[in-house]
Amino acid sequence: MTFYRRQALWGLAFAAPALLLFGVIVAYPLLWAGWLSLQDYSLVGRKVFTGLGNYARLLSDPLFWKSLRNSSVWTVGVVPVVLVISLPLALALNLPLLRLRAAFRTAYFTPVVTNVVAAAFVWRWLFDPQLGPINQVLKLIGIQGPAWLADPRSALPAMMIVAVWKQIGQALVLFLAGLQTIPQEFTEAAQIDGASPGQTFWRVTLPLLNPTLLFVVVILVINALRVFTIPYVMSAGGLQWQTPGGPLDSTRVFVLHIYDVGFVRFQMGYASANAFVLMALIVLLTLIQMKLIQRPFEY
Amino acid sequence: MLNRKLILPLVVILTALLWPGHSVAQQRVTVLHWQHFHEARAAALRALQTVYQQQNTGVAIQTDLPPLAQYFDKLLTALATGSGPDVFQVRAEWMPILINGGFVAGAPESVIAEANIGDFFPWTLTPFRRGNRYYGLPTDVQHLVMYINNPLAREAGLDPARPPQTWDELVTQARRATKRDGQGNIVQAGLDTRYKWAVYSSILYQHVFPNVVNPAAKRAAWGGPQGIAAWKIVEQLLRGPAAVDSPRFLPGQRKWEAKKAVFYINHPVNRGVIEQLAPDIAYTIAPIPRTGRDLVIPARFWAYVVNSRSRNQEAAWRWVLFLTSPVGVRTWMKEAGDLPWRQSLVSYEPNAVVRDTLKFVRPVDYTGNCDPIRDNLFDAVALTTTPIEQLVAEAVAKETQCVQEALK
Repeated sequence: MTFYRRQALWGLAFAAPALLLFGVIVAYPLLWAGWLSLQDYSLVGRKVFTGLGNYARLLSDPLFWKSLRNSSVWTVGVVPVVLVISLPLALALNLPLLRLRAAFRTAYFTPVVTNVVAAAFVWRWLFDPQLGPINQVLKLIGIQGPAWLADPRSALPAMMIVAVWKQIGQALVLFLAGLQTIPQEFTEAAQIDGASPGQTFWRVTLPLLNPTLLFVVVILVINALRVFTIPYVMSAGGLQWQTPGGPLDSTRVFVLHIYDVGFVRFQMGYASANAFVLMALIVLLTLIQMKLIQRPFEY
Repeated sequence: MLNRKLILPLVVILTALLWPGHSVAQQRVTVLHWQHFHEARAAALRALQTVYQQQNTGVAIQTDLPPLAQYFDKLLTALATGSGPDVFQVRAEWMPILINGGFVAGAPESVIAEANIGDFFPWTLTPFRRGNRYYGLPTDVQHLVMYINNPLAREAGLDPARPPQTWDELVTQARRATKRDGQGNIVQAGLDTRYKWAVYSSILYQHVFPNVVNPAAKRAAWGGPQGIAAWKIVEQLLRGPAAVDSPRFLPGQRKWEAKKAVFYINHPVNRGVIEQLAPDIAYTIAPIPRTGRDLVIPARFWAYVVNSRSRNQEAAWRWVLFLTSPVGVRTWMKEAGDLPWRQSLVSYEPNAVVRDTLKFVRPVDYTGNCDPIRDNLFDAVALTTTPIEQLVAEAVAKETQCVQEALK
């Protein structure tokens, strides 16, 4: 046995546990879901092969389009807002003169480590139309607050506010880490050359932050498309006798739709087809983001 | 370093402990039992579990009570993957699917002989029977009653002893009892409509005959004038400035138990919840309102069934037998406020209204898992101005599709 072959075998042996785990936990369920998406399969019934029938059915399913629309609104609403808030905060926390930096960082990161279900319950109470503190404060300044979660027009935006609150800390920490990897010499050189703070940010910091920015955007978009817990708990968590994704499907995001089809209506084949569409959508959007945002550079 | 002198005694002790024939614990049969959590019924189950284990020392009952919202996810995933508990609770309407799919075991003849099957209300057994075999026994048998908060009713000038007899009277009285703030927001509901199913089913099953869902034709049968008339009553309750409740008022909260509503339609088992959450409320139980004709009360019940893959089917069926025995039913009645679902126990029901209205029961039709469609229609009546006819037509089309999916 040659040295290289022996080395390859050793490498394979070391990688085997991880490969096995990947196969059992990721690859097998993925392939199985792919196979299920070609079947008409109720959770408590028999499987009947239908080919691409489930995918064709998606096109004429109003709930599919509704959930896709809601997820798109969520993504377009949440991701830019998180970026716009977290990046300036990260820049501020990166200032050498700032005191209590660790305290601020902890404060902003707290929502990330807070249990999302518990947080969603608390937010549900905050958004109560009559007794909730948010509308009480609005009332003090003479504004009649919306019905928030009880109104199809305001329910999704209310939940998006929670998603923004939950994710700012994560994006902030990532941006802060990215900012701290940028060599000080670049910004100092720009300042010596007479660049204003704005010019330094736009021409030096932001381009050098590109890998972090790309990573944060990709992660946020994936999170937005996969969101489930916040709309589920806030629309129907606890013994409320409410429909998940309500009122009137106004908060029925894509993963909630998949859950409803699979585990409420038991149409696992159709739910799997929906899940594959989501996966394709995420892959496609990630590739587009990489194409549009990624700026390869070396220093 | 282990002392060598210790090795032999250790081996002997470990062998003795692990040897199957010498283990007392392994002689016990463990029956795994799942049902959804309910404040009052959980307490009753614990009481029954204790008694049963004392009487049957060789059997251990292990219970798991997930919240209702997650119960079916857990149960059906387990069943679909060939596992699951020995005994579980399901909606009686689901029996056709479970029997056809081979998920539930038929009861041994000895169990049926002991169950004194003739003592159950006949309509509670219909879903379980296939030929001469029974695939489950009833539990959590529930019809509907109306709860009235006495002080709040009196405050509104109503007499709890003279409850509304018809839906029109309920609309009138509930409107009188509804309170609003300066901006017109409800601050006290005339009728707590949180349990939507109870409200719309009460009305629908009094209007639509002979079937609300036609299983033979696999279609929802409430799209005609009767169904529209039923939903027009919901419209009177929920739409416009005279609405008696609103999804915007304390959404998702127990308004009646929080003393923020006067009337409330729910199951008799809700007495157990009231006892736990709001024991200080003085209340009256009245029959639900009726249309012009005789009183009709929709009833829904659950089943205790045994998993066909259970290795302890005999022990599991014995446990089900105990849960549904006269002793079991009386415990459910006493601890949880359940209805008597054995005819011989009707006299033990302390409330005359609950007892007397049992004869007006109409079991609900099989709907697959299509309740969310009617729930959404209920919300749409409250939250939109779309004509009822259009909303009903759309919902009936969706439900028909849902029923066809479930029954194919």
